[in-house]
Amino acid sequence: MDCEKFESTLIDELYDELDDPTSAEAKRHASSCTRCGGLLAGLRATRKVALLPVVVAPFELEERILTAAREAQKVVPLKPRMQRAMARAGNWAMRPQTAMAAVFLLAIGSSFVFMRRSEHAPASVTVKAEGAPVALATANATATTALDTTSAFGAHGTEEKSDQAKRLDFLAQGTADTPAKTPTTADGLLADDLGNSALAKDKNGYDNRDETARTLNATAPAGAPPPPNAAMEAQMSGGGGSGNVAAQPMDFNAAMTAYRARRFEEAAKGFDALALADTKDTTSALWAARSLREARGCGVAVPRFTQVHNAAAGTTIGYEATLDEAGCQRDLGNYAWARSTVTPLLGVPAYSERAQEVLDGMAPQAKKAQAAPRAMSPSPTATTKATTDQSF
Amino acid sequence: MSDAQATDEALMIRYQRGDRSAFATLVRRHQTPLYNFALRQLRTPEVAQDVVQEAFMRVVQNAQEFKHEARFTTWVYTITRNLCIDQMRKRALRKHPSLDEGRQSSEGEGPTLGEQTADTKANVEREATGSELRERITEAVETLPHDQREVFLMREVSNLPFKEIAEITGVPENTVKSRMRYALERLQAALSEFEEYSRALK
Repeated sequence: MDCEKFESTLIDELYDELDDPTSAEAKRHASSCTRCGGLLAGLRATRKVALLPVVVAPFELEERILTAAREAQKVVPLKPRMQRAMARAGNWAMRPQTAMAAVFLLAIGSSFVFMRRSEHAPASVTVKAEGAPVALATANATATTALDTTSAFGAHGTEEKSDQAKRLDFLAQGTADTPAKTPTTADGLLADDLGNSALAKDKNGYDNRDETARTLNATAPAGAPPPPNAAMEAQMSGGGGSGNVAAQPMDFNAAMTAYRARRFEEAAKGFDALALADTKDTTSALWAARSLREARGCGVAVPRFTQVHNAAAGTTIGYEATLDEAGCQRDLGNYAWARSTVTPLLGVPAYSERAQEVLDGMAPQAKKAQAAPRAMSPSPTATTKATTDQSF
Repeated sequence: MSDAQATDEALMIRYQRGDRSAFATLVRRHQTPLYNFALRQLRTPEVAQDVVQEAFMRVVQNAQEFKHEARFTTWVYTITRNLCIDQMRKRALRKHPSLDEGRQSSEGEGPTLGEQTADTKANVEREATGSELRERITEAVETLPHDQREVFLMREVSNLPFKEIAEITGVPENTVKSRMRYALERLQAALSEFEEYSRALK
């Protein structure tokens, strides 16, 4: 070791921080080198002498520190507090019991939500077709302005009535008075076409239409708009009684809906109105006849079927009317007429099977009928005569 | 293992877990070295006490950030040293130093103004009673440059290894050793006239 290296290790040698070989080498150099040896000895003597007296810390300092520490610990800063809380929550959340409890609560909670939803769900969805207040208002306005309301009120007294009741009363009055005055109305046509007996029945039926309307209105809740069919029916009645009232024919679908709902009277009026509006509309006429058959029986329907049969001869509608007419005649006991009516259909491929069914259905009954007098039904000849005179 | 035998780091870990007695043990173990370190730097007992107390409060407030790999002494001496530097800067900004404050000179920090203005006859008597060497040692240490003095104090008073002193002061270890050598050489020059030095030299 030379002097330069010795000086670099001087402090370490002085404080015994050199490893043993280096320290031994340094000691050898110090013993052989007067300068380096004196340097080391001088610093070592200085360390030995320059011992600073240690001042003992005041007794109260420890108490001051501990008191201040206790006070400081009372108010833990937010960040360490949050970290501590997070650590505790994390340790607690990592327990398997906590996870199981969470899963259990989740399952219970979700099932509870589903149960509540099913309780509040409606049992069934009902779609209600409400009336057509705009059309009704238009009809009311038209009727109110076109007709002499003073006379209508006079006929029914001065009792104050609702607009709907006033309208129905007015329409009923018009229906009763109009046929003789305006033979072009529905009732007039029916009377002309069907003869006196049919007219009587038909007229009785149509005279009761205001009653039907009243019944329909009575079943409606208070304040509710009148049903569209009742409104239409009233309009049709009014149209039949007064040429000034703008008659709005019932929609075919509405009439068919009424038919399917077994409101045959209402359907008959609807189909009749359509047939009157368009004399070529034999389909409506057919369905009007079917509605009358269901509502009042074959006795009323047969002339209608005959009418359609004649008007639409050779067409599907005509064949259908023929089948229905024959069926009615069969039901009325007019087997010969029924047979003569349906026999031509045996030559129509699409209807031969059904025509044969009608004929087959009459076989056992015809035998009984031959034995019994034919007092139960009008003679086919008379009916045929009445029918052939009819025309749309 | 008792508190007295436990290492500083073990005591600190226990304190992190809420053991306040471990903190009390740390205070008892380190308050005197820290107080001497602060007192030799600041020369004012009250300010030195405040600095030590504040250093331990920082330990309390930041206890959760202490890592067991670190040395507690390095941490607490770093805090105390920084607090001392703050105090010395505040003192340097004052225009009218108090009687307790050390005198600033071009060569370093001298004795307090209180010591300078004390009865000179009393100083003569103390020297007469053989305490002159102690006074001289104290004076010589106080007159050391700050960087040399703090290294000398940490090594001789607190017995910290040079490596740890380097970490506290933030300088290389060789620099610390150089400062230590310069400090010893200054003290050697101040004490060489004393008989005790001559005896130690033999």
